[in-house]
Amino acid sequence: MGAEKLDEEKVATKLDGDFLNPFISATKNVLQTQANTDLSAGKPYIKRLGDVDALTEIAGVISLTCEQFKGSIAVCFNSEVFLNIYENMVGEKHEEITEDVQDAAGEILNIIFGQAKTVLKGKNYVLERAIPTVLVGEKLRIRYKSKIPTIVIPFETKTGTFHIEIIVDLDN
Amino acid sequence: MFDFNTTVLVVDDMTTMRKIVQKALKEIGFSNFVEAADGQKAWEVLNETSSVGLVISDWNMPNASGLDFLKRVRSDGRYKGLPFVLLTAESELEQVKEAVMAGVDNYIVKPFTPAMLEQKLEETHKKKAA
Ligand SMILES: [Mg+2]
Repeated sequence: MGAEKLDEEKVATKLDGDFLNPFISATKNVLQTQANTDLSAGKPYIKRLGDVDALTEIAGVISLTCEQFKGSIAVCFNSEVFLNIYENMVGEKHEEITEDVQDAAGEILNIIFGQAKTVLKGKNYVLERAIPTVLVGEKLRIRYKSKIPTIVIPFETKTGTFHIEIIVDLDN
Repeated sequence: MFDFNTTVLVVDDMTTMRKIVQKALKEIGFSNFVEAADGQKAWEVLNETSSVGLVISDWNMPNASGLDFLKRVRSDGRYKGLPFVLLTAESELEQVKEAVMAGVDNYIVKPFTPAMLEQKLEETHKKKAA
């Protein structure tokens, strides 16, 4: 228990509002502009070991590498919210997440990352360029088991919630 | 504005982005499209499709980038005047300078709305006509 608290403190000191806010604004801007989807951001929190995860069926993931730390950021959706955003963005209605639609999770995060990266550069976080990957199925479950603690930023849309997760690699 | 009957060549390695661009172009009034997932394929498609009158291309792609494709297009007499719009991420705006040197006509930053794309195309068309 003590070690876990210590980890949380380490995460909190590495990731303050200066780092998180650009991702929050970029997420809002990208979804409003590219997917015509209005959303509001909830308060970021730290996910602890044993907390119940919100249902995630697809996630776009990008690694975060800068002088201050290493880690990764993921944008995580359930299929209903993802397919709704996809429809708004692309103009196609899909009933399930097939291979055809998966790359959208990576592209959404890619554009968010691009915007946030520009703002963060002005705050002395110089993020390295990175390519997004998309996780579904078994790969998602593996990610969920492996890393804790995680900073979660929840977002609310008309069809439901999705969230952004930031994991800091504490070994670095 | 461009002739809406012209064929637009849409180039991006992400399927989703090609679809987003085409959806926006349809809303603007275009209806003929061909697409490619990298600069190499784009060159082939361009040579196979004589009706292409506008190119909208991503920059970061495997095999041949948008810049490679642009340079190839501009070095071929047949395509010297072909309107070429670069699609770029905000973090890659430095690339725009390089693209301008290589002969790009305009650029649009992701994310964009159909109205933003329309305005860029209007600008591009005016520049070309001048
Ligand atoms: Mg690309």
